[in-house]
Amino acid sequence: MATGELTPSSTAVDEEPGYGAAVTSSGRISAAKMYAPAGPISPFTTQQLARLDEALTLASRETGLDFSVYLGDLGEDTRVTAEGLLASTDNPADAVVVAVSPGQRAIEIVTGSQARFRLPDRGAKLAVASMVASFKEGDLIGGLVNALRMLSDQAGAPQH
Amino acid sequence: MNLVETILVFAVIPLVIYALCGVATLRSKGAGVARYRPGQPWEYPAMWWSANPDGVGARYSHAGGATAVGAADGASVTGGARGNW
Repeated sequence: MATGELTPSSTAVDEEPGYGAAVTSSGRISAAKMYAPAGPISPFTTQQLARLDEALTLASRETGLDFSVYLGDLGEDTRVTAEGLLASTDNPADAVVVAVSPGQRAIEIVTGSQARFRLPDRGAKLAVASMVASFKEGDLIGGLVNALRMLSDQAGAPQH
Repeated sequence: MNLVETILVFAVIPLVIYALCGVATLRSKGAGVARYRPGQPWEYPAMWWSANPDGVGARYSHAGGATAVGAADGASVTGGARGNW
């Protein structure tokens, strides 16, 4: 046999390779697969995400606190999960996590050990009440943007 | 105005207008992403957004680095609020 000559396996040629598959002349099986489109990653439009990004950046810039928004399942104990999220940030003392679980219809705002002095629990409760009003109407992004504005107004500018 | 003209003006043109309005209502159906409505299950992967570091810029930090979330006695020192809808 010469160098580079193809050796088709005799067994593959004889039997039917299956639905949507064919044996090519080189012996390789070429199979067609059904295209499965990927499901939607989020129910938000680009404009909505841009609004949220702008609100997050403005709130963090004005107050000097690390605001972040979590949207997803919060498990059995929503408070513990949200505190775990806060602890996993780069600077947990100055971080504020707004955690929302639409499946459980639960909201948690967690402020870090230093951020809680800038952002009292009363202010966080006010933001939660605002979010509840918006979420009841199904407006997730509007509620989050309003809550971030309220939280940043409550915290104010950092005092050096 | 003969019969054909009468049918054209009084039947075909109104029908075309109705059809155009009907098509206009169907236009946005299925287009775009599904809107969240309260009470429906949430089947999307978890998302976590933080501020854009370029937009935030350098900031003054109170703690001056990482600080533990839990106090020395193990109690949580985080604040915040909770709610549901």
